[in-house]
Amino acid sequence: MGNYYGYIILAVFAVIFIGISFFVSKKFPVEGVDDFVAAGRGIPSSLVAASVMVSWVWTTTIMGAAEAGMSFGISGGFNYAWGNSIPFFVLIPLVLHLRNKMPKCTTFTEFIEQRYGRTVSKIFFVFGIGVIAYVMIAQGVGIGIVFNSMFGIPYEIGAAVPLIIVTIYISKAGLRGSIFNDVIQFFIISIIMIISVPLILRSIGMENIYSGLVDVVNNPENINHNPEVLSLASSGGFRYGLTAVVVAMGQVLLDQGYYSKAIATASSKQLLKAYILGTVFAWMPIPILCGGVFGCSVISLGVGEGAGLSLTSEAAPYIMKLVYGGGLGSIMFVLMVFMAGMTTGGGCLSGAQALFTADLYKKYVNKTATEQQQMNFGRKITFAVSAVVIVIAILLKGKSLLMMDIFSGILFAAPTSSLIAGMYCKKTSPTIAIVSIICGLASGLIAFFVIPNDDINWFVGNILALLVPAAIVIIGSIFSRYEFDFDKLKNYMPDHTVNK
Amino acid sequence: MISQGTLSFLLWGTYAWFVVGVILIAVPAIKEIFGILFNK
Repeated sequence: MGNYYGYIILAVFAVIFIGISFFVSKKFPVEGVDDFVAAGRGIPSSLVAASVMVSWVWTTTIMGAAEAGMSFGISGGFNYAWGNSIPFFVLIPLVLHLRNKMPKCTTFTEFIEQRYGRTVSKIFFVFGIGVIAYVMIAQGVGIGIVFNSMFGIPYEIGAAVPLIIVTIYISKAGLRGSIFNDVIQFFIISIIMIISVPLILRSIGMENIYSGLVDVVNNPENINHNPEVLSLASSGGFRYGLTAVVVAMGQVLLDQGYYSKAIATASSKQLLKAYILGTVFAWMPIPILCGGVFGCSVISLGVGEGAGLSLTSEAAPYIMKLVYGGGLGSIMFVLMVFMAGMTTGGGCLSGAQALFTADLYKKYVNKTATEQQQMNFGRKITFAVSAVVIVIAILLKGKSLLMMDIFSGILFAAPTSSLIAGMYCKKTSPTIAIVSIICGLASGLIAFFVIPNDDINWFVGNILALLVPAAIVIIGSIFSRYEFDFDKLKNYMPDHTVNK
Repeated sequence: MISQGTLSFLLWGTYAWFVVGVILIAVPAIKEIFGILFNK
């Protein structure tokens, strides 16, 4: 396809999303730090639900789940869905508890500082920024690859321009601008999925899909031969789901973007409703459909790596092109990935903006700063974070993200146990928190580098990075004499004015 | 190994689940957006 289609898509959506942020900032002038990073704490559940759903739809949710459908069959999408949903079942009660225990909290690092002290808070701040940078880089790389492969646009432009668009609208209108743009992107992703799924199933035919999958099960000559492709209890698929839990745990629990949205919701009741709707009702079916419809349809047609596809990650665009025809199919697929990457990147960037604006600037840079100075700093740092991310994404041209993904699980799973324990258990001390993080990181990295078998070292490394800190936190807390008084969190007041 | 009926039920059932989820979010979201655009 001509690259002008790609440039038109970039230009049109740049105008739309930046335009919306200007409209939002004019309609709702930002009145202070709380308005900027927590949208005034009055966003209704439906808008938050849409925003949560699209924030968790990554470029890999579409392409990776379709690939899982090719690799593991019908169980691939289901395992992707439950594995990546478990962290939300941890996050939802956690953020509800946080709102109840510490009503004026804005960032999770503020909570960590009150709960464990400033040293631990600094450690979590670094992890929080690390998660945000990693997620944004992954989205930039994903969009860059898709624009390059579908339209021939230079990878550097495809990776950089969407991140620049996101940066402009987040710095202009803060979290509120991000949520409003998320809602528009929610409609685009949903409409494409609602139209495409029945079209694919009708075009190929359920009978053909099933008979093709039976051939995959029974025919050893089939390029995708897999006896478990029509089994919901595939052992390979289950291991895949288990790894997803570990990798996603840190990506969810350490991403300030999710805390910002939770705090921005008008009430705890609306927060519960928004997160259940956004994750269980709207998000979970997407990887199941991408795996079951996109991935399984491709293998049922006898197409596989080296036979119609150069890589299994091309499963989703292949089926879209097949059903819609080259031009329209490519545009629909690119739109989905473009929206998925922008919303995820935007959610992360608004989280970074909140961490720097509400938590870092006044504590460490300018203790007498006004709220206007805090926001100015937040805007500038948003551009700085984005610039670093863009440079790294460009440098990663042609590199596999697999290694980064494995490391992200090992690095970011380690602090989650002390975060969860700190929220519920009064006996977990700052020392236990630090020791658990160090031991989790060390055990995960040692397992990864020392175990010679490349098929299991990443799996063991990820599992240890999650379970070793959990064991230390549980055992340490049982024998600890430390007691934290949760009541003092009720009276916490941040450095900026809180609207509600 | 699941049957064709089960496969069909799983895929169409998940599709219905997604559509319901989208409607549950989209209807109130559209109302909110219209409220913001025209009432305030």
